[in-house]
Amino acid sequence: MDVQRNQLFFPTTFQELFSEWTGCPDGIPFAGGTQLLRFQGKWAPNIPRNIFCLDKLEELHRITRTERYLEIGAMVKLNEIIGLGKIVPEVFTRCLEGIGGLQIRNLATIGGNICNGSRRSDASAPMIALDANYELRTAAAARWISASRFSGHPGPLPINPQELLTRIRIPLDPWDYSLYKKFKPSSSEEGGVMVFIIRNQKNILTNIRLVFAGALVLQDRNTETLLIGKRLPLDRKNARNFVEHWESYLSSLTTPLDGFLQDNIVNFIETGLLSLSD
Amino acid sequence: MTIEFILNEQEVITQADANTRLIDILRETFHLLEAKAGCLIGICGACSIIFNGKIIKSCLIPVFQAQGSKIITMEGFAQTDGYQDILKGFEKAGVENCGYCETGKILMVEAILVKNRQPTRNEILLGFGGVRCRCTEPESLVEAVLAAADIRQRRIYGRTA
Repeated sequence: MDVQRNQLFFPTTFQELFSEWTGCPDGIPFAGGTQLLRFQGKWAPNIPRNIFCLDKLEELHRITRTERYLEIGAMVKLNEIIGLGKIVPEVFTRCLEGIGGLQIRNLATIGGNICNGSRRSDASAPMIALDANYELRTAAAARWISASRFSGHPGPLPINPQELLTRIRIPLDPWDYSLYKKFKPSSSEEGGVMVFIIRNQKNILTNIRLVFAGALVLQDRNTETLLIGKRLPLDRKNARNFVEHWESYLSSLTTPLDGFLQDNIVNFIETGLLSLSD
Repeated sequence: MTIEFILNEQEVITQADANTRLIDILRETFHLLEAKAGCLIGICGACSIIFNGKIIKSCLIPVFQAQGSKIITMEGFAQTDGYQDILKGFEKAGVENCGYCETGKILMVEAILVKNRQPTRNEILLGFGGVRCRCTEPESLVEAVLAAADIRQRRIYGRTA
């Protein structure tokens, strides 16, 4: 028995959580836990010494909808979000459906997926594309950070010690077309998620977002503007020009992607544009 | 640590090390052997159980997460009419289970039917994405689930939908 080794906390309020966290600064927040045991093989799992189970924090399970936003608590399970149906942007739902199997999605939480620091998570790409914001809370204050600032840069996530992701706010702006793809190479963890969404008004492209999230997050805002204002169906020349800009963007990366990802990203963009072309 | 939860409709209390997987407690402490310790990395689905009303993989749950939860294992589910519906559906479709993946498959059928009592082929195949099964063709599984759905409709409503 290793009863003395682990200390478990089950806070029911934020006040309780942060006060316990101050007394135990190396404590780790525990959400769905799927990532924790998944890669530990068949041995007795190694879990952090001090754990804050967030399950009893009612506020983290809340889902609210206003006219402009959908707000999702960090402890909401992925399948609960899928179950919300049409109020969730389609690209986000499709991305969540691509995570694990039904059993994993019944356990995994949106906050856990976003804060999984080992790589940029599946949810990052749609969150960045949809201009989502995250609420981060400490004992003293709360702040909002955009998904692109949170997940968009290499290195550790910009979350401070004893700071907790509590809410995700997704704008409910209508998008007219969305495409999602998960790239899963068979031999390594090096994959990623790519999303493509557009908005049009009277057959004129008014907004376009193309985001890849894997080991790196890729979004080329300059290239996106090339297509804004163009008429649908897209002229093939404009579509080709867009793909070429993305190809040169990919080859200009300081940390080049492997061939598998590069080819798949270009294929994905071509597929997306083809469906918008004449 | 002491953990209390409801296991197959009975309140249970057990002592366990915090870094124990739930599957190990179910098998070793409670001798409920239908959930199999398969891959232990959340892929095969052989350790599936119903946890607070949802199907999950018990190899991915540290035991402390079970505190205050309601757990139904295959042994508990086998006492229900729902289990009989699924079994009859499997028989009707000529599906025989290998024993290794049986728990995952049967509980997955239940999860699919709870979500939608008339599931589509696509919903069925998506659901079985979380269960690794090499003994049954996907099309036979679809047939079995549709048969089970039909049997359940007849039992509950006295007719098919």
